Amino acid sequence: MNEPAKQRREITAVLAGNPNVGKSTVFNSLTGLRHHTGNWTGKTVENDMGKFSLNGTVCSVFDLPGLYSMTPNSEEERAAADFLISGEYDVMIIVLDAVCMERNLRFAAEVLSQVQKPAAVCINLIDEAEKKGIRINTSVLSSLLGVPVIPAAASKGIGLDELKKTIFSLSQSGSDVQRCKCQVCGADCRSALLRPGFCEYALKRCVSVPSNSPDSFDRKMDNIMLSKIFSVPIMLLMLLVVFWITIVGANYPSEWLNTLFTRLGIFLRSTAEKISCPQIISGIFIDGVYTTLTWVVSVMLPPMAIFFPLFTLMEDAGILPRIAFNMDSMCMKAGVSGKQSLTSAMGFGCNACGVTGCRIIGSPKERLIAILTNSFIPCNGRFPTIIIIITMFLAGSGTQSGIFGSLKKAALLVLFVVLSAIMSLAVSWALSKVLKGESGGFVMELPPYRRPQILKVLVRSILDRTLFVLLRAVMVAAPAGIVIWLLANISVKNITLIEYITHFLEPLGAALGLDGAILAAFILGFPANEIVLPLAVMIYTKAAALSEVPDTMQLAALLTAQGWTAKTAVCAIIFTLFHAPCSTTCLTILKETKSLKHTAAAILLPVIVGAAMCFCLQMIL
Amino acid sequence: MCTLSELAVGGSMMIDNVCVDEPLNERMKVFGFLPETVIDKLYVGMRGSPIAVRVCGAVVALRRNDADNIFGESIMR
Repeated sequence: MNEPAKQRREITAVLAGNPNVGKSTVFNSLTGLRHHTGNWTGKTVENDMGKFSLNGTVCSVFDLPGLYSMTPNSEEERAAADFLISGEYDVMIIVLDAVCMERNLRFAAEVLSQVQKPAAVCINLIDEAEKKGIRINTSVLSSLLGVPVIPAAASKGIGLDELKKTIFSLSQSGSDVQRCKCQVCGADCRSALLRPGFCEYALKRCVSVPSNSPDSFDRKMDNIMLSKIFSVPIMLLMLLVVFWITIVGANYPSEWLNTLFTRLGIFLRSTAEKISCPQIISGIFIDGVYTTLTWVVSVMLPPMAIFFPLFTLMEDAGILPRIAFNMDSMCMKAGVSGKQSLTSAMGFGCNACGVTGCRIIGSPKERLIAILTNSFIPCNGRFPTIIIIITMFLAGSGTQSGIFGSLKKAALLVLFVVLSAIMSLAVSWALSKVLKGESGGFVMELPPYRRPQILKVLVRSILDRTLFVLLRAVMVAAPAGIVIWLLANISVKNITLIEYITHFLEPLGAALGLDGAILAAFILGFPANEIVLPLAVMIYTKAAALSEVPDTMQLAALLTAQGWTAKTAVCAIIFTLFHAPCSTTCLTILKETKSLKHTAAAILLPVIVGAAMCFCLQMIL
Repeated sequence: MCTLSELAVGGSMMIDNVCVDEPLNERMKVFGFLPETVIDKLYVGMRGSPIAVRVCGAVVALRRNDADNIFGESIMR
């Protein structure tokens, strides 16, 4: 640290600030890394790192999770505060929201008085503030705080060059922090910052807010979004539209991918024959790995590539915190944090993502409940299974097409999703009675609505989320393909291992309104929920490998021949909603809770609920 | 003297004191729920909770049972 700064080629800067002040946007614009930014509190759950260079010097930038004060209130805030105090960086950039200076300034004063590092203040969203008639005198503010103050509008690239230059000039001042004397009061800035009334004085000097309320547009939106009459119908309608677009939109690319993979498969097989590849090798790699992989990709990729961008649009627009607001009275009844509806909403995309997101919940008890109940919410991997079963057995003739047919499917899907949400809350309620610990209360910011940057959203969510989740699914699908192939091809006394398993599970499956094959498929589908249905088909047809994806009509005929009825379909959907989380989610839960007991509970809870519901349905229907 | 819960929607109040337990108290302070701060009650959710308040230029939601413990003087704005 003490070596002359000028000789160093690489420096590190850290971005700190309240949640939702556009830190991630500043980070993206600085580093060019298309990192995802969201418009709700607590988006950044892990430190992100990116780099940029100026005149040959490389600067690594860390984007910390949002922080409301140096007294942390949740896991991720603690991580951010610890990092700031640790001083393991060269320059600290405090990012403030120009629209909300009153609170942000207090944060800046607190951090500057506690952290002994070269620092600058970046006032972001200056364009939004100007639109609202808020004016900030940055030079006076700079002299009051004793650090450079740079106004910026990161999403438009304004102020970033100056920020970069400031970071480099600050890094050359080394670790020796000699902040200027306050030009206004003459005192040392650090002690001035701690003086009571400092923030009020600074605000009066530097920030002018128009007397009429500057947020009239947001209030008009909220009059509708938070209204007692419209909020619930609007939320359900949004859910319906999102699912409808996903279902209809996913059909076409799924078919294209399917055709492509089938052709490629034929080519691979013929090539394997030509080069006289041993049966076992081509079996494991083409019938096992290749077929499982292509199943997962063609079923999973299209709905994800549609759902994630839609979800991200809602996130960016600021709709998610409103949903949390509307859901909170129910969450309160269930004895959990209102933020749980946010982590559950993330679970629709991917339960592993949802579990990690639970870090935004402050109280350990409420966080644990949110983690344990996240997999009650069906993730993207389970949607295709549910949708296809609805299409085949529940949405009328099954061939019904057109807008009416797809709307009916979407409505049924919403019904099952609402059921999963209700069960998730019911289990949360039971857990809140059983588990000990304090609840953390609920204070949440409702950020301004922002127009999402559609093109960026598309690129980001496809790159960040879709490919990330897909890659992880592919990584587990490949070894699973090998295991499945082996089970289907190793025979003892002319009966394959998978038939033994199926036979063994038959009575249990029957008791749940299912059968041995479906149960076996659920168990073998542990690595990825996407392959449950293809596995069942493979077991039914006694095939040596997952078949090529048949179309819906063929699949319906095949399952009906195996004794599937509407009842089997309902039980299968219920069990798809409530069964053990996939292997990735289980690993994430273990990582987050650091407890085998809690991980076991996260697996057993949905299994028990699903089995109990199926058992009752089997008795009633 | 009234509590935030009692304040009419659309009304404003100057905070007198906030009597909630830690760690919520610290959180409230951070959001700007401090004595002599003027806050506007904007929205109330179903069954009276949560309550959305404009404080320090931002909109913050909190639950009714916590709003019961924020005392102040109703003012005209």
